[in-house]
Amino acid sequence: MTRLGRIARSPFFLVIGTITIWFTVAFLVWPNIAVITAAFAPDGHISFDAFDKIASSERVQRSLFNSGLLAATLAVSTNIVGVFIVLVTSYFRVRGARLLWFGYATTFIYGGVVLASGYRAIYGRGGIVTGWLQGFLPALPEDWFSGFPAVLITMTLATTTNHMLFVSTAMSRIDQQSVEAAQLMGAGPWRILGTIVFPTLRPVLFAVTILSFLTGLGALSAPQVLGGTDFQTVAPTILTLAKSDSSRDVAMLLALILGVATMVLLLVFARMERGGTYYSLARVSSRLEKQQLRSSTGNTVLHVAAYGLFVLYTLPVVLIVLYSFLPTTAIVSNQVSPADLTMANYMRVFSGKAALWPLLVSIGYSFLAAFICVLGMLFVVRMLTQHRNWITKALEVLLHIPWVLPAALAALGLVVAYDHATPILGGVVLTGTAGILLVAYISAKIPFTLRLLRAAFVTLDSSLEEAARNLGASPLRILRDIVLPPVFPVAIAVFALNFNSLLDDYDLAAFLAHPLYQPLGVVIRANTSGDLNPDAISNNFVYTVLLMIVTGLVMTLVYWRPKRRTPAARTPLVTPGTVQAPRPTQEVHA
Amino acid sequence: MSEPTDFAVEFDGVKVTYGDFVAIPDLHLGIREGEFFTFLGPSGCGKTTALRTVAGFVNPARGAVRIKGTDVTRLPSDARGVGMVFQNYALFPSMTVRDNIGYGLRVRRVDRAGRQQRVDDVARRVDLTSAQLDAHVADLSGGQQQRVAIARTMVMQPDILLLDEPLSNLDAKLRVQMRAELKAVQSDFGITTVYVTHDQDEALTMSDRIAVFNQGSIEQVGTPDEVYADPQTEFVCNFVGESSKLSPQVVRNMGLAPTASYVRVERAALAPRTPTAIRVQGRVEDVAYHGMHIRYSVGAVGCTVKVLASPTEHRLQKGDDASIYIDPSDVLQFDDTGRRIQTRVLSHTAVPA
Repeated sequence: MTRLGRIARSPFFLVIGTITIWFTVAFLVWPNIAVITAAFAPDGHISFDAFDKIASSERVQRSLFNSGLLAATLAVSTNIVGVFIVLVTSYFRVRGARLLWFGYATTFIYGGVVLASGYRAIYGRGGIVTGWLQGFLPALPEDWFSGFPAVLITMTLATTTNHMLFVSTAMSRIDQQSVEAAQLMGAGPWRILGTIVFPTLRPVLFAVTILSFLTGLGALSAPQVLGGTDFQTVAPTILTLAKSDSSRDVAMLLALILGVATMVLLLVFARMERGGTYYSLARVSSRLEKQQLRSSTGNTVLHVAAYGLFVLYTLPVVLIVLYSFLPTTAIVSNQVSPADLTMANYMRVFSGKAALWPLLVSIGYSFLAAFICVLGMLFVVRMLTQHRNWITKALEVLLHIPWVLPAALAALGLVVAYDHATPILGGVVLTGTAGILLVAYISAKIPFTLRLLRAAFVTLDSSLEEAARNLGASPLRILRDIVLPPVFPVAIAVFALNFNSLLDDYDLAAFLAHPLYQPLGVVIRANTSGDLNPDAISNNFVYTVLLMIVTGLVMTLVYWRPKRRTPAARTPLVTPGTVQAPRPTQEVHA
Repeated sequence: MSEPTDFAVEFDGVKVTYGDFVAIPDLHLGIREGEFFTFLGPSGCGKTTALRTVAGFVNPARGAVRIKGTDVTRLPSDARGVGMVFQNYALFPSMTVRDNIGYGLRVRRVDRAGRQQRVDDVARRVDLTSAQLDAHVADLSGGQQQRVAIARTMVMQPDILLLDEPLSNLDAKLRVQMRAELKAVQSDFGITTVYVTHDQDEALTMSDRIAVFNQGSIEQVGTPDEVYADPQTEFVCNFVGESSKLSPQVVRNMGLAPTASYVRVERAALAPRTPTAIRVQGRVEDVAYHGMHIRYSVGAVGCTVKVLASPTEHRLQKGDDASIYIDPSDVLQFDDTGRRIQTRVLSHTAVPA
């Protein structure tokens, strides 16, 4: 029987396959065709007017230039800071390295629009630190922390999470014996770093450089919140232009340009990834030990720089938590007294429906999207791993589409594809409904979920299934009894990570949110404008603290495992090594 | 295709392919009822593929597999009456020992009381205690895990037991101990057993008969003694046991026809054991102490001959001159195709060092 024949004879996989093909075509393929049509044939005839409009718009050209500038500089700055973080936490012997790690890891628990808004509240006009600094430097302008430098600094600090995940993991795989061999030949810590460690890390450094570049290219919230009028990038410009019928084709073309640039860079990335990395040739490698800097001056400089950066990372978190307990009047006047610390802001958020609603909406969307995505992908991945043929191989490639396209393109695609009745959705108009954001969230999480679940499925010992077959278990019983139990913890972890990353989403919600169901990211961004409600600033602090708590709990659930005797419990459910390159424009918010 | 026979397991012209690669070109083999039969061979020789063909995990491109005379080639794994113990045991990690052993019974909807009785019974026969039955499989040692794997298979009362290198995950001492236990279990249950291994010691000590595999084909089938003492091909001679290949000069000087010739390590000696033994002069190249014996590698003309000697009888040093005595009737000779030929003595002449 042919491989296609086998899938056709399994009703279970036939249903799963049909649904997967429909979803892929309807929500991953067709919206992109719709964007291309809207950009080059807005009224049914082929037209390249959008190019002319871009050529004649200084603002659009500037946004393209700014995106390129941000991407290029971010790629450099993130590497400088990120590599430094990895060195002081994983390579050099630095006192309090664990504490430093926690400080640098604060961007794991808050990012995107939340982080940008937090930085603005701390360092921006009327911000806490701005007030302190003006005490020393009266001439310091109110909006000193804005424009390109502010965006670059904020995004640099936010994007080092890639280094902490991938470069740290790669460094830990370097064989200590190769370092010791170099030491025996007289090499010092810096020479070993330059000749043994960095050359080994080159592929992963290249990968995170591309990720940083892409993050800068598709940046939305940081330029919107901190860029001011002088520094707007492509994504915020797309958001603005998409709102007007006359400039919608330009928005589509910009989204396509962003998408093509992203795809080209990810192709380069994939090529690098295929090359493989050799961390050790030893059959039994030993764990890399931290190196002691022999020069006391160098050691002091290293410690001062490490702790200086630690303050830079943790100060916003500490201040956000502190100010979440202060009344708005104290925040605005910058007069902080311990007596002012109350739970009033939290009471207001939890007692008033209007303030609590965005949080509930975000939790609802995130839970539903993460749950549907993981549940669906459990069956899809089982099908993809059980039946390898040209259809499942093509499906697997197509399911990765959201990974290679920026959020703006995905969102605009859904808007233009389903703003009218179409047969593929049974005549349902999706645009303008609360459902469109849910669909976008589910689609956005498919590649990440697919990749991790697939890794969990393929690492399953096939002899377990064979043993169950030999004992008479049916395919569904094997799935339930043998396959799902070991995959389930990974599925829970992926669900939690998906839930986390959607909780403060702004990139998709900015385009697709229903007015009555505005998620937290949109509300936090709106509160940053400041003129709506005097309590908006303190609400943002409370939202940020709540998000940090939820995210922190979820991260703990995923990465911390109690010590048990079973081998499976000794490792985290999803290790940084298995979380391959996150989709840069969405997983790493900035 | 030939007529069905009364073998417990029979391969009738089985061909197995993986894409363009032919893993087994044409396998004919019969395994008798109650036999402990071993597939022996190096990695990639097709022995595991042959075993998996019996289990129903590999579909032959041609030919038939028969179990007790019934063609099972197209039957699913669980309908063949075979039980399999996997190389890594394939114990279900999310279940306790009891749940692992009782899994197949639960699938067959055996009621709880019946299940418990059969699990307890089989556990007793493989020496698993009631405390171990309630333990998590990850908490057991390698040997205990193997017993669970055997119990899980035997509780289903299969007609044939398939063992896929079940000792390869154990340390050397436990391997030796488990050989005896496995053989005892097989004998206790009286079940036809097909055992796959690349370890000749395991094959020789446990098996009633052995099939030596090479590149998907069987080189020789026989009892351990036949396979060891009377290898029918050069491959079997090299793979089973330890032999020294003699150089054409040495062979010629021994008065034998100059063709591929070997002598088993225990058939060469430092003193004449038979009146017809020929002396081969050489120099000690290497000395390896093994406790019960010393292994000398003696360089003769164009070859190195390995000799075992008692530590109490001979103590030679590296570089010493040594005389080796080989009886020409102990020399194993093979033709150009690697087939065994009768050793022919032409004349007796000692070989100078």
